[in-house]
Amino acid sequence: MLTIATDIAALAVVLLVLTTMVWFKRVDRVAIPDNRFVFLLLWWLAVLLGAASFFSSQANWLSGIYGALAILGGGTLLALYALRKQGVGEEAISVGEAIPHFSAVDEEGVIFDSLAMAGSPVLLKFFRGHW
Amino acid sequence: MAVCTDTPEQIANGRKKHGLMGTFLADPKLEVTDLFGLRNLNTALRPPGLPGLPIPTTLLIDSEGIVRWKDQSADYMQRSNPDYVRAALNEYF
Repeated sequence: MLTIATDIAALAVVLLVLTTMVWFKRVDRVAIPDNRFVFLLLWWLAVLLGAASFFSSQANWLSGIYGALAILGGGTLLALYALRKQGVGEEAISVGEAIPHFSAVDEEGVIFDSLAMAGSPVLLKFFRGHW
Repeated sequence: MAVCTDTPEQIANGRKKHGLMGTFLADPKLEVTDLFGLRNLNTALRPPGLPGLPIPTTLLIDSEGIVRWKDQSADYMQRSNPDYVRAALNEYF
């Protein structure tokens, strides 16, 4: 059962898992490297090795499972990466403009009114929350 | 101060997990985000149960309510680097 095809496919899965672990560890610290070439290269390598294992004459069900995992996982990450661009609307607030009046609840359910910001400078961040 | 799509419960959890400080406002319907025009119009990646997501954006607003500085990610995998924001804070306030 342990053939060269299984070795290649297993290597693809290990590569995928390790690369992805490092990526998400750094995401969690909000420290994605500017140069992502190595991550992309390793994800592509995982997909290609996974695909290569299917073409081996020694391919079997185990190498098939590993290979499929590497292709699916690596493909998903590459697709998410390809969709990373943000669509900015024309009505987006710009430097020099006054902020709109708004209100929203905080984590304790208390309503915050933006009028409370008047008179002091504020750093306001919009972010994706746990997404 | 921060605005995000999390519910108050999720904000409380996130604060505990990441040790966050400051005021966090829940905007799951993107009402505040839309007032600022900061909804991500690229809808290819929309999480389940949410109308959309904001574009990660940092604004410095002066005491008159005018935006003095803005940093916006062109890419959801990027965030304003703390040093970058600190430099802007020193410059504008």
